Amino acid sequence: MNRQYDFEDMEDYLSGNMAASDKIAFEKALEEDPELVVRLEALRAEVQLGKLLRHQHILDKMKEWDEEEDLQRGGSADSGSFQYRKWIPYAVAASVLALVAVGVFLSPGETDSLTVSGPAPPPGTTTPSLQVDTLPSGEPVKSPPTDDNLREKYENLSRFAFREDNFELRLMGAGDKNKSVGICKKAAELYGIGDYGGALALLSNPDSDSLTECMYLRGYVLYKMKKYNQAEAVFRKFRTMEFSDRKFDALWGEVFCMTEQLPASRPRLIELLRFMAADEEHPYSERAARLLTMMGE
Amino acid sequence: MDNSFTNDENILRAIRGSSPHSLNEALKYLYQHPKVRAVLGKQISDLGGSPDDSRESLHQAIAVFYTHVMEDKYNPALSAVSTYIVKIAVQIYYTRRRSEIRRNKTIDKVSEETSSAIFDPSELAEMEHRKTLLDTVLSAAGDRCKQLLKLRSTDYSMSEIAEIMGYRSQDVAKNAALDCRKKINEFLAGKPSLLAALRSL
Repeated sequence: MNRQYDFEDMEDYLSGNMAASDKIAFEKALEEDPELVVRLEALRAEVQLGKLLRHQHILDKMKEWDEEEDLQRGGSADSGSFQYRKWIPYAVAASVLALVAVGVFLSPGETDSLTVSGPAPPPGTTTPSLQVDTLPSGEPVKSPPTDDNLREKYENLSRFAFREDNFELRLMGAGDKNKSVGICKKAAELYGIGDYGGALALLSNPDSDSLTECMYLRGYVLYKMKKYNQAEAVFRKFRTMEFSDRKFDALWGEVFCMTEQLPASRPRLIELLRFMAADEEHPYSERAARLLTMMGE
Repeated sequence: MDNSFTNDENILRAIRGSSPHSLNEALKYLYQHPKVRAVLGKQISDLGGSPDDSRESLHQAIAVFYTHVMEDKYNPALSAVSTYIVKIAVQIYYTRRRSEIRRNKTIDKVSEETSSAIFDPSELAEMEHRKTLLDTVLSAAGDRCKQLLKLRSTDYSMSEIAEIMGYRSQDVAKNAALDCRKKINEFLAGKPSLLAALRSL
């Protein structure tokens, strides 16, 4: 195709390097030649393309740095990457935790005292519905482990299960338009600084407008005060709140409260974890499955 | 670890400057920062994610952070660089998981609470869309052009590009870059819908 204007001409036009007379002629050609218009648009798109390329370049560089670190890690121990060492404790801790927990729960000497769960759900009932029954009455709190080793295993499970929540962040931006938001926000602040007694006092009389959020926070406060049975009961109430956006979180709240009450809570903990693990769409499904594995289930 | 980045101001100066080497150093410093990795690793782990999830989220977060800096969306008065990056990375992790499981009320909720003011989840979809666009455009030019244009877009000089890519001289590299650009120009001119999508970014 014999074109009047080539790539360099278009570049000169866009960069202002075209003589005035040439520019007039070029613009006249633009009016008459749709193909030239498209080619010029394509050249203008280099700006956007440049942005995409820079973005991709950064991603590629990070992959390069990953490879460098992998190489360093695979090299001598002394020249190992400082950066990766910072990651290692998490992996090691998780592995040790899992191995220790599984080891304990599988060891013959201890299995009998720990395995008190009922039979597995029959086929076809992989996603049983949860009952909103009541908890064991009284204040059993934490059943004392039989020895130090067991206590350590329970503590490991509890550490794995507990998920801190950032209430202040969630309530950030919430104005004090009404009393309830103020109460919940203030309680969250007290929770953040560890004043659980103060937070609990505030939450004892929340306004109905933010009842669920206050109630959810109350579960955490009770947990921190080591009132695990009461905390579990609070979280359990969310089972009836079909449309609460805390429904799933609260279910996990029950889990970490139960891990603090082992071994007495083991049957209901196993039941709940199986329920969660069986539902692939449940946000805590994978975590529940991992905890079950750690418990030897 | 580069010790010249003693504060956020130095990092931002390096990112906004014209030197590709300073940019790389600054981004590498952030990417390998132990605090960023440790905090992010912990948060992702707490949410059931793996170290690979952390790494992948951090990749994207650094790239988003760079874009936000260049487009003046990042306000240093509101958030430290490391905090900002971690928040974006966590948001990206949530968004990815949400799209994986399609429905997840918890994640919807948490994504709102973590950093909605910093990172719009739709940015992730936008990023993926852009990646597809870029791949489509560059497929017409070939791998060598792709590498050359990438270097050129990040302000490497022609002599540096010649050295990196093994061209005999900077003039040869310059001509190669021109050929690549012409190829892409021809390709785009023949793909009006692709061109329109690119121009709309």
